[in-house]
Amino acid sequence: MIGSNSDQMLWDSFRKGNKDAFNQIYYNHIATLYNYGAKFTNNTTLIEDCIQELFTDLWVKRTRIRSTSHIKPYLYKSIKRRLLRQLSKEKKNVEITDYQEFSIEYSPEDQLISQQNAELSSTKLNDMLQKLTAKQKEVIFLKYFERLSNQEIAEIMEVDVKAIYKLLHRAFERLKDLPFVLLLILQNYSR
Amino acid sequence: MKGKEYSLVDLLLDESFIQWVYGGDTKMWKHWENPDSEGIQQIEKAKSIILAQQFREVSIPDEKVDQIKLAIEKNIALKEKKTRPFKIISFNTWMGRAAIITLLIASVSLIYYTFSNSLLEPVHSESIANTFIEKKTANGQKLSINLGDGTIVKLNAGSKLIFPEVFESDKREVFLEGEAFFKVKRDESKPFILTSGNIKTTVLGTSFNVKAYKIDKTVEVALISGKVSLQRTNTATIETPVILEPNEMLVYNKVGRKSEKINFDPAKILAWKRKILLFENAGFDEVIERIERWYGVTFINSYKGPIEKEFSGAYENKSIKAVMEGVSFAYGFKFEIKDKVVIIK
Repeated sequence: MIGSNSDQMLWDSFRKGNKDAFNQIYYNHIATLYNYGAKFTNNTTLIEDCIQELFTDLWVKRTRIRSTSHIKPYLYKSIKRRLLRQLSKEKKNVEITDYQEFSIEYSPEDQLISQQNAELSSTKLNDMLQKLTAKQKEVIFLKYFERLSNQEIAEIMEVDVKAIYKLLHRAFERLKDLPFVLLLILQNYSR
Repeated sequence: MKGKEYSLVDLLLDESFIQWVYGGDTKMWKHWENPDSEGIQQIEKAKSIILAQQFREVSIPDEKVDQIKLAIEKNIALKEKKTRPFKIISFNTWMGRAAIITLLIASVSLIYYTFSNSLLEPVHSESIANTFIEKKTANGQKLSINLGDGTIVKLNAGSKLIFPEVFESDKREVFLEGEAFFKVKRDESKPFILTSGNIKTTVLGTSFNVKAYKIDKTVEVALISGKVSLQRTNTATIETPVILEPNEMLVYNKVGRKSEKINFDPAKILAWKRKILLFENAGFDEVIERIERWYGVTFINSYKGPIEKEFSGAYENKSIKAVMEGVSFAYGFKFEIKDKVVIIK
């Protein structure tokens, strides 16, 4: 996903006080923000509260917010910070720069096929996936599911682009020999 | 980079390779001219790994979207120390459907629009500097869209929705080709106008289903709740609009240019929204066409047997194989599924 002109226009419009633009930004991103937030915690109330605070602050402080042509990474970085800040108050092993949880699972869950053929099982792939670190999983999620550029991912993860390469490299060294072709077939046929 | 050897992981990380994979290009990835068979295998493997990175989504319930928005508005009002009682009240009544329906019926402000001869011509709109967004679904795809005002549109397969980036100040105009379910956010100052295949639907706040596939002979608007006013866009005379009540449906015949109002069963019309593929006394052609649309496949048919039979069946979240077993049994043909092609013999 490359930053776009319309992102820039929409964002600048909102910063100038256009409520419709603000609403559009909310509705455009609410679903993906919620999905992303759910990777860090399954406390849905916390996710909702953080989203609510995020957008409230966005509007109230709109004149002091910087311009951008990539709205999604901006929002993701913000929601991540808020969530981790809250979570670190509750749990000892969570810091903004060091978190242990990023839950992703391969879909689909076609139990019938999985049971019939262990080789074809998506649970085998999910087991391997859980062996990656939280940041490795997050990078894969952002790069191949959200399809963000390395630059955008670096902004969200608050590291430089080289670090992103390293994370991806390490993640795939562990995953590359898994039977992904079979997962692909599963995804296409079990709708 | 002719002849350069890429390791599997190199490919997975290469931006141009990733773009090629997503782009769906059928040509060979150009950075590796004339790859040997091992190279091709490598490319295919990397491609499938990249495409397989699909993860289970945690979706936010529709009501939550509005609840959170409402909370945001309340907080903003608090922080800015301004109260906007009118806006907050209208959100609350939108949540309570019964209140809405009575209000709608009581209000005389259903706004009629005179026809326009143009059909789907949003890009020629004379609004100043208003860009339009086009959202399309391919066969086999469904999409949920939130418009800028809180209206939620669930787009069915093989459909297209066109709407402005920012709604105008006095109306909300959108254009549909295909099928979609609308849950329109109530806004009395900005009536919601949907144009789809010769029918213009005007609503204040309501939920309804519109079926207007180009290939179909009819346009159907089925009202679930609230009230809508419908008008044709392709006549030279000003006609009295048709008003629909809940559970009433307008079927407009494009060929005969006539419309009739009938009652419908909401469960049947909205089956697609609940991921149920439903056939009721459907002809062979209809069955094939709907399966193509639902799963995003194409049929190759060389079956010579009888196909006059009508087919009925309901498939909830089933694979195409399951559906084809049922259909093939009913009609007596054999089938084979290869990738996105179904062969009938």
